[in-house]
Amino acid sequence: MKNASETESRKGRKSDLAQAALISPMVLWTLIFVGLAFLYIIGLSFMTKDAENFGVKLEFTFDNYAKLFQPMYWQVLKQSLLLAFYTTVICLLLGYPFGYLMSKVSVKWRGLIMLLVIVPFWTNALVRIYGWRILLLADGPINSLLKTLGIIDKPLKLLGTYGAVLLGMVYALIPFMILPVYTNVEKMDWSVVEAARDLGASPISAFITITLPMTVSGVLAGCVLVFVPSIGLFFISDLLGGAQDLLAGNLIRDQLLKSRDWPFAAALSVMLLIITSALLWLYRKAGGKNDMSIM
Amino acid sequence: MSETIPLLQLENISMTYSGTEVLHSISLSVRKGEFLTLLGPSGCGKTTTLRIIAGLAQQTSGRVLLDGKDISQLPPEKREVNTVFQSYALFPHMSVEKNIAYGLRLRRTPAAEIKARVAEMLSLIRLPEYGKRMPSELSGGQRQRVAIARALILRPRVLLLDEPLGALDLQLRRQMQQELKEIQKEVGITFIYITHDQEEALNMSDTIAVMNAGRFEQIGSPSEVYESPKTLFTAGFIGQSNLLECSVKAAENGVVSLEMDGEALPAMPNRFDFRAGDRVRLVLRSERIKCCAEKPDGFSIPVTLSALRYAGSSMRAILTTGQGREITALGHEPARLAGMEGKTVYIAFDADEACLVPDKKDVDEK
Repeated sequence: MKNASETESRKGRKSDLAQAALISPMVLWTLIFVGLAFLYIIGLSFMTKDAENFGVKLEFTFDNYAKLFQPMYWQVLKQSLLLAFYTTVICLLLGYPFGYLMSKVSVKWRGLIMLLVIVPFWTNALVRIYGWRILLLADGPINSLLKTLGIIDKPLKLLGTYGAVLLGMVYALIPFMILPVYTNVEKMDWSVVEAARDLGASPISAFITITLPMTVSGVLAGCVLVFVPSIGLFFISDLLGGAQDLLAGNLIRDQLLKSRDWPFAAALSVMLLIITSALLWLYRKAGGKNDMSIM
Repeated sequence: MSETIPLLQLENISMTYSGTEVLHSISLSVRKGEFLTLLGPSGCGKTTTLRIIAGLAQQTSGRVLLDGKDISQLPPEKREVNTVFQSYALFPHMSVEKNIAYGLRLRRTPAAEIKARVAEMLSLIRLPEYGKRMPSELSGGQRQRVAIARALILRPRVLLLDEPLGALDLQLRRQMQQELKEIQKEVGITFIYITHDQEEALNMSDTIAVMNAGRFEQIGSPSEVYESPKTLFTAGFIGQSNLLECSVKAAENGVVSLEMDGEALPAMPNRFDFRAGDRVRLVLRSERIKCCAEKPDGFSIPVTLSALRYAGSSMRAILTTGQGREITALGHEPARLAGMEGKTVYIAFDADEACLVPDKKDVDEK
């Protein structure tokens, strides 16, 4: 980090103008399509719902935020956070060993595995989740296989369950855990782990006291990359979940398109934004610390 | 000579890496408190040997004995042997104190004792105020000392050091050589030290094991390996030598008479059971060649002075024999030849300051 900023400042002194010119399109783009859009949503969240006039009346109110704390909506928010949390934990438990082993296999295999991790991104996520829908159907391949093998008599209810939603979420987001973990483990200096073994650490305690803390930034990055989008994803619970699996993302969409309560949808969005920003802030704080020894 | 068991023994250790044998059945024994150096060019198997002793690599065959007990099958954490790594391998996420305390914490040593021993180590390495620093805030030499303290705090039976001074500049190296030697005397622990720097090896060691291509060429005290090299490799690797091809004319009563390019040389003691007709090399240390402008009394070789170079504390003379062999002389002697470039001068040597080694071919046959 220090080195990067040093070189940046050195370059900056050389050609401030050229750099400003290069950056300006990006800054402009961000200002208009992110900054203005944010301001619009934040403004909207303090307006009043109206049946006419595009659904909005220019009347300042805190009602939309008060509504967030009604038990029904609060419940949805809590459920979303919980699902995001489970998704992150499962992604971590599966993704860490995966990324770790990936950096340990030979370079040839590594390339192949990397390809397999990335290939799904070449297809639209919606299409892939539809694929899972078919797999999980009552007369879908998974149930038929289990029946043929004689493990079950009646088809299992797979689709429309919380488990199916969780499966879809983990499936969609696990690459975002694998990749940062892999990059972190891959640049590990293994002589440090050897030193730990030499000083008396068993393979497990060397992993806990050395490898894990040294790759913690990859773990944190992975957790943020999985947790933040999983709060907002709505189409997975739509396609794989039942009516009971209403998440914040679904709620926002329903408020926007079905109830046409734009200000409330905006307030919900701002709430999600605050939660994810808080998480990112926590992440930056944790990642900036030097000593993350867990001993 | 003594009846006691050596502290550490390597017995016929061989090591094969993906089809290539990198260690060829090497054996070694180390006394308690000894400072033993493995000296050799890079790629000769020094580091592999060290890793096998530490348990970080597994030999293909042979045994490692500590106090007479076979530790070959023990994982590194179960061996009473610690390593100072070439790259230091400090834990970047732990302070100096925590780095040094690491091994004791794993052993669940009481906190008060850890604190006392860490403080003791910090003063031993002369960094008493640095406990709270992170490794990234230390200089190379300081990191080196922390790595040593981290290994020494466990009071290992043997401390292994893999080119610990390799990354330091010359001045710091010299200073650290001194400090390391003092630390070793202070703690009385057996050191096995790897270097490719002959000066370092000669300065610090009780015993030097000269290594080449996965074998020990010679194991002996610094003066033994310097004064009486047993192989052509040792003679060439340690010190500045002229290795002159000669043949044995006659060998009688422990004395050989030699011939170089048809000229007779002074008789030398027969250390290797040479026979008439053997090809041998005369090891002539550059700093022990006598240079004379006029033909001296007694034995001398006429040579042409090709070049005379100033080299700070000494002079270097490049001399060429009538048959085109190049001989280098070093030290104060060449100063006598000032102004003689291109002219014929004479060199001489004392028979007891030179020695003979078998020529390469003979070594390979063994």
